[in-house]
Amino acid sequence: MDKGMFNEHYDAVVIGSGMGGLSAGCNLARNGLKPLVLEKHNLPGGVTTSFVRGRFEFEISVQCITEYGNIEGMGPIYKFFHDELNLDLEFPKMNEGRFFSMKDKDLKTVLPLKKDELIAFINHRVPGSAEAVREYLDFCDEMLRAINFINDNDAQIKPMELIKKHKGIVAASGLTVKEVTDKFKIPKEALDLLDIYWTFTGLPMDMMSFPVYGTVLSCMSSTPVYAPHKTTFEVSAKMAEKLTQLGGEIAYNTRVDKILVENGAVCGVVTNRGEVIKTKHIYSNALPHNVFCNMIDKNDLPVKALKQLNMRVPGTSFLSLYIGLDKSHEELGLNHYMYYFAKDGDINRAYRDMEYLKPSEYFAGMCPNPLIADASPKGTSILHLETITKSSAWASVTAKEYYKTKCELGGALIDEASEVLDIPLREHIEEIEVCAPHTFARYIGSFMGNVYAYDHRVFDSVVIKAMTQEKERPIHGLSFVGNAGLLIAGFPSSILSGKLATVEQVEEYKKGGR
Amino acid sequence: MSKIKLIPGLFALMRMAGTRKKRIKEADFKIRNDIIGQIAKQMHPESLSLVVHSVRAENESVRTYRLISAPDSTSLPVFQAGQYISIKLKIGKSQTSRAYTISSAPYEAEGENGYYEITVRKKPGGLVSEYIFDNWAEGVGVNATGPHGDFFYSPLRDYKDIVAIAGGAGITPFRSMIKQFAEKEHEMNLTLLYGCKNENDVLFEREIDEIIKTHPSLFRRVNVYENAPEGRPQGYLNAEFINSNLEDMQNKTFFICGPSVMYEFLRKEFLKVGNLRRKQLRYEVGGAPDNVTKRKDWPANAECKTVQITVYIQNISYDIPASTIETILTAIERAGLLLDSQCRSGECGICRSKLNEGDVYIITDNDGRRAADKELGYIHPCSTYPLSDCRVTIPPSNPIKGR
Repeated sequence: MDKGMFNEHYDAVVIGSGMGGLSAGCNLARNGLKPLVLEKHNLPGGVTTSFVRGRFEFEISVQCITEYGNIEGMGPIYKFFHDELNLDLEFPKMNEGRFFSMKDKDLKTVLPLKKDELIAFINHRVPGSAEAVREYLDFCDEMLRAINFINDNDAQIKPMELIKKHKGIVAASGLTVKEVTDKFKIPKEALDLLDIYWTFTGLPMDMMSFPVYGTVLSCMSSTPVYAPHKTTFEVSAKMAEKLTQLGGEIAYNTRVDKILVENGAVCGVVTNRGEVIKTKHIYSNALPHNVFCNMIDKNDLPVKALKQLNMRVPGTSFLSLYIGLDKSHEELGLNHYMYYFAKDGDINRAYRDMEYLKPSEYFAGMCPNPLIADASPKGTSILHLETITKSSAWASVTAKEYYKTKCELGGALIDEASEVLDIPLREHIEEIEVCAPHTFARYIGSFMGNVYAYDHRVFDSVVIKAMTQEKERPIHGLSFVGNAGLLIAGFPSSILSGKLATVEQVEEYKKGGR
Repeated sequence: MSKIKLIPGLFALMRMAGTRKKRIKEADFKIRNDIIGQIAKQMHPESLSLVVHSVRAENESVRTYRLISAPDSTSLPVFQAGQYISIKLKIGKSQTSRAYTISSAPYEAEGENGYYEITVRKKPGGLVSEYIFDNWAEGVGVNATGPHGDFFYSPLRDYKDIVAIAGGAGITPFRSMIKQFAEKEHEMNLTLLYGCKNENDVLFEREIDEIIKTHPSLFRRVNVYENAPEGRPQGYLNAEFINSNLEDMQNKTFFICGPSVMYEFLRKEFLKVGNLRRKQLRYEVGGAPDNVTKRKDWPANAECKTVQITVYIQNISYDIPASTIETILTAIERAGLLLDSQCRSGECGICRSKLNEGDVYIITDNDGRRAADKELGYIHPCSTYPLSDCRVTIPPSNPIKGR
């Protein structure tokens, strides 16, 4: 029966149907090419998914969607989803600010969403900071505009053009966040209020690449922010449907075990059932670590591929709690969509603590119900708590201790959130699932269960990556999409990474060759 | 003028490009060990190769099979008391699966001599249970996946006072819990309310009684019989019985396991029991019902007839016969096609497929479909019945490893 399930040859094979893989497949199919997306799981999406427990459907990973809009209006994600793929998706827009608490300073407040209001708010708390904060946020906006420019020009960046039009990103590409903020002379207290998004980036400010962080900050303060209505699984499922409508194929329960290489170029893949599928283009949503350590024959693997890999700093994973509560968000007083819990402003300590298995002092929360009324059945609500963790910290936990350990660490987050919000959360837990790096390793198979592929160190950041990507490509015809793609890690960038990676093949095809 | 100047920025960028080059030059080219991935695989292996170690008859129609890890395979994965394994079988040309609760305790699975026990009731005419009774003996190889399932005690969610309500063979998860709690945990109390047809129907009585004798403060058991032997309580697992055996209903979690008719009945009874919150009631899923036409929401105009399903797997299609009163999964398996399944109750979604065309009846008790999947016409074939000719796209599945 296996015979004939697939064609002998495809224009491209995509490994994994996360956002990067699906967008690569969709972009190829939309332009008349025939891609085959192979997904080892029985669902599309990777971490862009949801799961059902009892009467709840929980979003796995994405709290909010930025770059659906941009500073000027509708952004690159909207353009891709709506104009190019004609996807029927609904993203309610966030209108309320984000709850923020800093325990040691006895601070509980709601940070406004809009830039002007945010600056005024910070200035009210830290008088005299407005000008510096505005200048800094304006500079962050330059990062986002430059990233959008790279997207609009489909990665065909000519350095001189980038310098002419977006010299800010070039000027900042060799700098850490700290080096930039020092120049703007922002008071520490004001910076603390801006740095709450650290929970999503997870690298100390003196290590983190500025353009990456600046883009995140700009997205959060200058662009409208949206939320997925039926969880992001709706995005995955509809992209997978679109892919097949456009003539592409997707096969679930099909893992790529081997990438075939001939004369330094890819020539096909072998599946877990032994099917051989020929192709000259492979887009891997699987991380370089998975590909180079497991899928390519050692004899076909240039030494530089492994050196380039080992040069990088593996990224971060999550401890995530998905909680179904048996009271409505109004009854409980969960009035905000997004929550940030911090102990103090010491991000360096928080980063060091990620290496240990101890209750996290920095974590984020999301309650979809204030924004999406039908996110859970009437009279119930959902709370998602998550904190970043280095998966190496979990390596010493045995399978036997694992369940207990994650419940203890998860329980500490629940208790901390309960105390800050003054809501007896534990009394109302009807369903709960705690996910640790192992959970991500199980479902997406990523190296060490990492969700963010690699740390955004300055030497491994977007502009330098763009400059070196051709030179560093170890195997011809093999590109990476998703979190290990050209852009930064995260949901919007992963979507765009798939589109970007396929541009060259599409252009070649349009010129007349496959 | 920007505070971040271009020229010094360019120098910084070049410096960092140099750092990158240097890091690559100095990096080793060893293959990195994915420790987390290895632990994840140990906990959730792709498949389990097991061997029947021994068979024990519990009564005429119930046997407990002790399964150990096959030689050369890894030790058994850790599980939570109450979880199940999905047994994969090839019977004739059908490749099928059945979910069986692990009736032994998690601590018994540990170490080199670890084992899982599953307890199987022989159903007259039951394809799988009859096959197991006829074929499984000491030394026979068994393929499975798992452990799976969400029917277990969660310290973050459940009360420490547990009420276990079991009907007939539904005692299996509670045998596992009682053994585990007695051996390894001493925080939870468990009251077992056990409904049986008659004296012969009672499973594990002596074993459980002995544990209760050793830990009288932790465990309690009350049986109720439809046909009671002399001196034993006669009746049903109903509101009155539950009320009479519990001082109050608050701060307790009820774990309920038994046949689907028991669930239908108990759902109504629990309304009479008083102010129970939904979070207090946890029902185990129980597979497809014996007779779907007896369900309350079975469409009145549905006929019992043969229909045709066109099944698409990637580039191939098959026309197969199906019965309106059997699940689409059953029809697919009977035709010799592969479709992976796990819970067979609509919950887990492993058999997720797309209904392109046709009328179907879906059992929604444990409907685990995501909102977007419902909108796009996806079904879980293990809980979906074809009422007309249908067209269904199923995912490729992986054949059972031959033993």
